[in-house]
Amino acid sequence: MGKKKRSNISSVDKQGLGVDKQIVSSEPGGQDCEQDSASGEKTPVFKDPNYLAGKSNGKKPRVWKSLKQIIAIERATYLQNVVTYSSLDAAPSRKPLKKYSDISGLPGIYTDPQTKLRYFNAEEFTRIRMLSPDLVNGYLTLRKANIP
Amino acid sequence: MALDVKTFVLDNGAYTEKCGYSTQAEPRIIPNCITKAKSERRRPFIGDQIDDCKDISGLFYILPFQKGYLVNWEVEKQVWDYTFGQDVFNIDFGETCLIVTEPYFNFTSIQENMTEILFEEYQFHSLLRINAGTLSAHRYHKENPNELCCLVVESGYSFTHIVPYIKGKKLKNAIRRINVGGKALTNHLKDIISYRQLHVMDETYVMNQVKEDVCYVSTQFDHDMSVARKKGKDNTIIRDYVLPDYTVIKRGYVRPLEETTGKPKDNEQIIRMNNERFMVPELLFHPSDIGVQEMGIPEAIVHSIQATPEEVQPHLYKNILLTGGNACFPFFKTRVYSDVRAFAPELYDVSVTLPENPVTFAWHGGSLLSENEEAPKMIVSKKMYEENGMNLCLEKFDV
Repeated sequence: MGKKKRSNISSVDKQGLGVDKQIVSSEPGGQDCEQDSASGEKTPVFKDPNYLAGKSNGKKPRVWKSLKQIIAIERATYLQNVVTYSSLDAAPSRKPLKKYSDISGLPGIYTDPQTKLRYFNAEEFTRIRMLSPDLVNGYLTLRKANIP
Repeated sequence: MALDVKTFVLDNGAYTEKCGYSTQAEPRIIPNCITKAKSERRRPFIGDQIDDCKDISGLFYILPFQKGYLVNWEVEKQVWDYTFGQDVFNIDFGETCLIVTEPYFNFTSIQENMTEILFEEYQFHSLLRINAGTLSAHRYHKENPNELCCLVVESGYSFTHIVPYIKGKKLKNAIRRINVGGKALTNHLKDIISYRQLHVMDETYVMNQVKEDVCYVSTQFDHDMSVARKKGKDNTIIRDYVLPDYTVIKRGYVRPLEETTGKPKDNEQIIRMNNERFMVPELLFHPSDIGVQEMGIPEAIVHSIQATPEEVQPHLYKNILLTGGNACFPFFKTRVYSDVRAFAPELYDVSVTLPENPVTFAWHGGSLLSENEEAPKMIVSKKMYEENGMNLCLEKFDV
């Protein structure tokens, strides 16, 4: 097995690994085996002792990047993990949102079950109950909570 | 030997590969390129096959390296196939560990490509990717066990790096790079000769030989310039260089001072090398001569040492090591010493070391490293690569 691999090295086309994956995905499942010509039974590709990983020819040759392309890619990927003034990627916070009263802006500790508006104290509650429906909708729209 | 497989050391330079088994006394130096000659159009010469060619005028180079980084893998694979194959070394890949050199701060994609090619296509048993300067520092430490630090000045084909090594580890933030190397010097020489005397822009190989034969580093620049301006017998610098014509004269040669007349003998072409002799290597010390706005070597040495911790600085000044092809210029060492001595603070001793063969010094360092007991911990075997993937190599090899 070792000898066979070595003799193919000088004649190998400039393929590399990517081609390997192409073979597996391009063939439908039923043909995923190589026909053993001698015995006529189907052996899976990976069980073939003479299978050479990544050494298939015939597809288009692998393209290597020029220096300019490498420099451009490095410049782009270098800044992905680094936090700078112009980039601050952070996941949305998982803390529960702070709620503020729709009427006054003080911390909205309570929520009216009928109108779903938030309020701070009993006085605000009386005000809420006196509002007309369109005003209520207006307040909810401001908070983007207006689900019809 | 510390490693239980044969070790092959490959100093993969942009101009030449220095390659050989670690047990060999001297490496084999093979040009790391594919060349095409005008006389034999159909056959591209890989590596040192060019020695077979009789007429190497107008040699066309296809270099795998660009600005010192290996980008053209098609060409490099052909050169490596030639080097590792039957014609040259005939390596048994499964039983060989490879030590290969890379430039400093090499791009991740290039490191990945190299690892992939060496493991997947050539299938070496194990691999060590390392900087050439680290090998030089290792050898220097072996030869001078009392010196814990050294400053490696690696002046090669593509660029020059000044790298401080403290206890065998390089200090990354003190590394300095000058974008002037042998390639820039040869191109500059071609440029000025083409402007002043004879069109040699296509003759890279010949002009490289001229540069290596005739150029030297001047220790007193202004004095040499004034001597070069003189005429007749007073001008001791000027030389005639007889160019090869590949029929009678197979290789160019310098005519010694006594025979230098300026007139070619019959059927010869000569070029007169006057102040070009010392102006070309002067680029290493004043890159601004060609518009490269960077420091020269001595200034960069001082700048690099100033970026290191203060307690290490005297040790670095005492152990400046010159390696790489450009260190072969005559009087290079004297000039570097005098310039660094002028820049460095008075209380530090300055000492510059130039090995007998600066080109192969790193290679010998590699063959010494393979005998080190620490070597098995530094290499990555193919099994480890297959289990852990590319990230293992990227993290382990500190390039």
